[in-house]
Amino acid sequence: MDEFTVDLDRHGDIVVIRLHGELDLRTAPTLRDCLAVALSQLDAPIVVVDASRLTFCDSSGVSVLLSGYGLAKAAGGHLALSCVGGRLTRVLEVTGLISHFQIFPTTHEALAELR
Amino acid sequence: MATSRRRAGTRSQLVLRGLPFAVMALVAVADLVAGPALAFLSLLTLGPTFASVSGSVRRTAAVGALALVICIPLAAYSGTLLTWQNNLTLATLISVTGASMLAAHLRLRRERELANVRLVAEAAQRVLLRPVPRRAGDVHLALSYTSAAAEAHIGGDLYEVVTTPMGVRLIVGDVQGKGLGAVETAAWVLGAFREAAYDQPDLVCVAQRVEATLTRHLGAESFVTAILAEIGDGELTLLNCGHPAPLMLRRDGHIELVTPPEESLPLGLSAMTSATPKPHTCTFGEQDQILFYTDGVIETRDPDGAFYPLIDRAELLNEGDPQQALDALREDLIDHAGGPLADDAAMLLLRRHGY
Repeated sequence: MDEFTVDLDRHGDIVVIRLHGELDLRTAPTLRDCLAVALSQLDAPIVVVDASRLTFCDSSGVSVLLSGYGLAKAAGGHLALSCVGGRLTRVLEVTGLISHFQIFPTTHEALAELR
Repeated sequence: MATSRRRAGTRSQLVLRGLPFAVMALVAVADLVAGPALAFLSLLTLGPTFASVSGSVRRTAAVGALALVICIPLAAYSGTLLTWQNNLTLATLISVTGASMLAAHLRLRRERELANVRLVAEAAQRVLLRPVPRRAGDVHLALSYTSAAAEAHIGGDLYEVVTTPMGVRLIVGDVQGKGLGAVETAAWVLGAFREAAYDQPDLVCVAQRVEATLTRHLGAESFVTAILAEIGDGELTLLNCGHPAPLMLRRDGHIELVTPPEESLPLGLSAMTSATPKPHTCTFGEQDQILFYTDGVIETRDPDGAFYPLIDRAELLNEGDPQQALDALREDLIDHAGGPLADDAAMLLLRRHGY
């Protein structure tokens, strides 16, 4: 099984979280903690979750992304996704959540747009 | 697997039952060979001690008595009877037998308590996930439920089939998350579905009732993916709330996923949208089959990490009666996993007019 890791980068007022590996029930708490850190850094946090290296995502992963989305909104900020592909696209499609997230083709475009 | 485990269990029971006698025989032989100087006889206490591990109080007492019966003639034979050393051995035998009887008594009481608790748990599980009828109208049904939790028959997957004045209605769902919290959520969903399915005019209203229950009891980010269905004349109405699309196996061998024209959010997330889920219908004629399943089925991986190719294996469903066919598919799934499943996996198969 792939190891799951997250990288946290700050680009001005935007926090980019890069996901590597498999996001599931076992690894979801890692992302939950990371999102909590990211959201606490800024007043109106704007977070971009880069999924280019994400190899798997199940409903627990979606649940964490949803909670991050909700928390960012509640704090007057925003959470967007970038480089969504493969498994995550399918999970978001099946759950009908794909239209609820703002999704960018690349993190670069997300940064340009949200800045 | 369960039978082989049970067989292994009986074998170890047999070994445990024979152990006290084997040990005491060994001690007696050792005493005869080595002579009284080495004081082997005190090891006879192992007899009642081992007996208390698996036997009843009476059996432990009997083994203790047998130890005395072995000890006294052996002591007489070697001329140590009524010596200080042998008296001490006899006293040890009697006191260890007493202590072992107490241990056996306590062990048996705990075993009885555990058996009672297990009965209660099984009864509760049966109330929560009832067996589905084998037949509803002209549709034959089969169910397979594989729980990831050891010894449990329930987890976060749920299903129910009810025959209502409006027709046969069913739900197959999957609570996000695991453990007892997921079981509790499953109970809320099933309770709401059972009530609403009987008195609501259509599936959308049923789903809204379930949604209302979940909104009351569920945290903001938790959800339940579910598919609701109503069996009509030659057709099937489906309401898919973020659940994997069911698999339709046509009479002519054609296999397809029945995807909704428009995806709806899982149950429990109504706060995120004002849109109501939209039902869709598909034909469901004679000899057609449809398989409802949960994430656990398609996310099961083999030791190399490859997902279970459900669509490729669905042909297994064309053999035998629905339950046999579904059992074959479940066997195949467990073979693919090469061990116990990592997640609960539920499958419900409907076949119109069984052949």
